[in-house]
Amino acid sequence: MDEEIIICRCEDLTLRDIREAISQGFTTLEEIKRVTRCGMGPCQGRTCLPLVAAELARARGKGIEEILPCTMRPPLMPLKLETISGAKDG
Amino acid sequence: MVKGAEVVIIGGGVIGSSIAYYLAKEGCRDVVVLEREYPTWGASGRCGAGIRQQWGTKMNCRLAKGSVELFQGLSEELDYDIEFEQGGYLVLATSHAQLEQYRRNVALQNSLGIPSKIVTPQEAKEIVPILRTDGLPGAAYCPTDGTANPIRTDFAFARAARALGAKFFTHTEVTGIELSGDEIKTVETTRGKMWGEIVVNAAGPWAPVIGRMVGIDIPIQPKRCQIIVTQQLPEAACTPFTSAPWDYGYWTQTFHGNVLLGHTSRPVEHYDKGATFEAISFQTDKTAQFLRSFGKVPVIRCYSGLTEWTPDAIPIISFVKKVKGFLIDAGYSGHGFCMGPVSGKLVSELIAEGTASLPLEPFDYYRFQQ
Repeated sequence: MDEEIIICRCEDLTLRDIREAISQGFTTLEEIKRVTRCGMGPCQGRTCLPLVAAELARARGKGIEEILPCTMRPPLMPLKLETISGAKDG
Repeated sequence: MVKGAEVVIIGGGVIGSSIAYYLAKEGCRDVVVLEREYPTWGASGRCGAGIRQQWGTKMNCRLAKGSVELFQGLSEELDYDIEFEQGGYLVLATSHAQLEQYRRNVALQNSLGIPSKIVTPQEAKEIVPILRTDGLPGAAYCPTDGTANPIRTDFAFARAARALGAKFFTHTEVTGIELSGDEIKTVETTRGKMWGEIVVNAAGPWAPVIGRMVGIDIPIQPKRCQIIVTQQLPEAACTPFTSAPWDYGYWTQTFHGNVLLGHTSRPVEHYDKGATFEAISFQTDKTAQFLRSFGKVPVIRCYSGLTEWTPDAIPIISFVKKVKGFLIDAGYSGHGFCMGPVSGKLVSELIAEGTASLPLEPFDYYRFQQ
């Protein structure tokens, strides 16, 4: 596969970047997220993390169901601060 | 797994990784780090990453100043960019009594060579242009404070320690410690048993759990700190690191542009790292009070982690008389990342030379019993 293909659109990471992190010895999605920022953008990993999970599964010779997902945290989609607080902004 | 090591460090956060690095650098390369998940999983990967020298006690000022001096050279020394920036650190006073306390603190800090100063509300506004200063009596500011990336700092220490021969066992949880009289016989883990001449408890909020394994009570209470993350904003939209400790928490814009809105630490049961709507809505309300033009900024995530508090908010860096070779380095009370580099250096000196380059008496384990 073309290693220049974009995996994480928010943080502009390619398949090569992900493979490089895996080759450094990072074995979980959470670690790859922390070291590359993959999944830290506005989409919060909805596009990229399943792709990274598949890549990790392949590299570790495991089934994708054995790769633990990252912790889900609120909000589920970007929300304006004022929507949450209800405070009037000046 | 290995049979044993001269030094076994429990915890691969910034404290444990830093100890491993400085020990290896001092020439003690028979070092093992046991980490239940992976470096940055615990407090180090979830903190607000402020680095400040503005303290009210001499010992905390000295520790933080020592840490800043180390932070300055770390990216080069560890050959890994930890994104350290001395962008300054503003501490807002929200009452005249606080401001008076800051004046005394600044005098102490200046006497120790820390270039902090008191600033007027107008000067604070020049530092943070979107700050609302109505009702703020003033603030303290130190231009040589700043931030670094805590995730990269922990990985950098771990990576450099490994390159010098230290061994890291990740996904390896310590489940028990077997004693023979007052000596440690074995450290039991989920991946087998091992022996260590010196065992360092660098487990942060979990330090009391490790303490109980050797029959000692470590007065550390975990508190949860929740952080809200905004979408990336333009450079310097919301810098430098600013805190209003008693009323709010802090905000900081990371190297990558996201602004982190940090809630003050609150006691929590059962090491719960969940997020609560109460904290999120409190923090967004308060942010609207302190910062103009922030209402339209999108929040993309929140996360939370645990800080580790001692009764006097001063860390424990101390051997324990009851158990030979058992050393505690924990209890940084919300400042473990800031103190991480100097902590590792001092503990490595204590282990390798029997004495450290800063006095460690204030951090004695037995001070709580007096």
